[in-house]
Amino acid sequence: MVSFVVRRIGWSLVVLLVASGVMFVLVRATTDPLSSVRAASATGGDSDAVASGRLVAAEQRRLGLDRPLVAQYGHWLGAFVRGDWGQSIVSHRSVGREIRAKLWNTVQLIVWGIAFSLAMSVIVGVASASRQYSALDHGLSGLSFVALSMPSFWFALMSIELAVFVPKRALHLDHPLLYSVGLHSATGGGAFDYLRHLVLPVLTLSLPLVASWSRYLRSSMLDVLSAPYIRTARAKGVRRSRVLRHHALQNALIPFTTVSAIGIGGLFGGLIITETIFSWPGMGQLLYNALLTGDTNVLLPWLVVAASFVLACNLVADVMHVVLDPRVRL
Amino acid sequence: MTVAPVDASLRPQLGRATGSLPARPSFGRRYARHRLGVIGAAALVILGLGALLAPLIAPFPPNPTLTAKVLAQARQSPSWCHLFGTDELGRDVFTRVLYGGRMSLTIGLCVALASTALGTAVGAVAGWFGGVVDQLLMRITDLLMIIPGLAVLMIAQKGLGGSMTVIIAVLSLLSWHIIARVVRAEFRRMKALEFVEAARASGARAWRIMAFELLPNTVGVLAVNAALAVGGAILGESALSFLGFGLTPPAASWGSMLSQSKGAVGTRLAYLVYFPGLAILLTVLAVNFVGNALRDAFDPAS
Repeated sequence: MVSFVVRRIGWSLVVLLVASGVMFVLVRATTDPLSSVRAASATGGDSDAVASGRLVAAEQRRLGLDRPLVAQYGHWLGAFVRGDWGQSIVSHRSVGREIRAKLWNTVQLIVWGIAFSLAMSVIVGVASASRQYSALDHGLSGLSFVALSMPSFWFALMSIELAVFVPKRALHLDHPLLYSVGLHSATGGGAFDYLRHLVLPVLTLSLPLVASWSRYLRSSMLDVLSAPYIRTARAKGVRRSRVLRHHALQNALIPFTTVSAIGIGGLFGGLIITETIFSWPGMGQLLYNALLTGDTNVLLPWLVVAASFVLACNLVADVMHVVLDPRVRL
Repeated sequence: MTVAPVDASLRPQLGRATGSLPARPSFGRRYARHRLGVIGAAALVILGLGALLAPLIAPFPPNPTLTAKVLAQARQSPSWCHLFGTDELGRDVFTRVLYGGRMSLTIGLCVALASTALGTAVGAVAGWFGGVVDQLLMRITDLLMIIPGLAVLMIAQKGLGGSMTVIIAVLSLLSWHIIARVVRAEFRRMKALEFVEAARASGARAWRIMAFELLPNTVGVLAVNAALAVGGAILGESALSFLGFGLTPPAASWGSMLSQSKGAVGTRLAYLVYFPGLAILLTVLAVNFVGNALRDAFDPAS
């Protein structure tokens, strides 16, 4: 077991290394770290063309951009591993510190989102599997179809309209029931205020997860429920609810852990959208703002952190699968 | 040496009756049994016609010169004259939804075609040859799984510009791996079957077996996955456009229309947000229904 985990971690590091190389090339190919220097020197007019050319070249040499790409990557990687993630072009603060400051807010969103999605998909999945082909089952699968076909940003906009503005207008409230901006009110307000900020972003983030996970859990429950040992348990007089919870759900959850861990890994795309709409000061908003302001130094560390998160989720999925399912032999 | 045609009876028969078993209904019949699939297909035909014939159907020009007369029409709620209302500049939203459909549907279809073609090629090679080639190609798909797609799309659009070609190319490059995995699994499964052995025994070359024996047998999975890829691409493009990293204006897809009108939420103009979003929802829902119906119709077990 230990050697399996160690081997898996080692392999993940190799994948991360290759991924960082690919992302390095991508960022280099699509962004120009000297654009601000070029723009500044271009305003000088024709007479300064030689001088500005010299300035760009000097800056290129200072940043090591005249060296081969592989050498640049090696240099970047060495600094990155040592914890030197570069400096933001816009705020002139260390990128590592910027990311750490935002990461906590994003982690809050992710943790609440996953907790809510897991709870909801277990409830929905078990409810539809235990009454297969009932009106409830059809209704829930229809809803999940709609949720999977809906752009999550549109859901967010509509939820702001229908859950924030409409009740506020209809009930003539001073403050809306749910907030759509940030994590806390400026005046503070404790746990309840935090909760009112949390509801809509968490819903937006969870919607596609609940829809796909509950479908998956439903089919995995149905697989288990048709197994002979379920019939045996019922035949020897175990109550239906206990069979569902104890015999069926526990086994149906094993393949579900893999699927859900991979789904969590895909969460970063949803985070960019959710945080941008709800002005949530997290990683997603950091990337969005960095791209708008041309803060190219943020991009690469951001991508590496996001990729590490996905890899960590896949790692957890693999290990959980081995731990939970004794049939998997290493 | 000439390649002898493989005896037709050696091929696995799709939807053909054998022996005393009752005749299997035709593909069309099996599809038609899927009510939601039929509704989805009908909805897609209507949406497609609306986009295709937009210049004929649309009651107003999509990007009129902003004369005083046009501006006077601004901010009108939906009415019989302006079915979906007008935006801040007096442009008719119904017209713009029709024209936006051209962008969204074109991108969806092109990305589905491109990523299916690329994914099929890679999956076929990996599945047929196995070994080192397979390992290498599958590790590339692993990489695509961990690189955050939306972020890469945003960075690429920022660097390469918001032309239709760039968006289609990057979306396809980020989504082919799903189909590659499916095709690879199919090819690996079928490689060991008798009809492949027969083709090989009769002297067919590898590419010939792949193209004429194996590929026709993956049509089912390909169709299903291509349909689902259309939906995925439309959603991806709309998210990208919504964040402001889509097509360069005034070209407008449904996503960029929503991006422009997100400030309307909570105001009198909230209707600007309803219709482009509903158009995306309906299209993707219809595509997913079609995909599901195709899966059931192709699946010999159903």
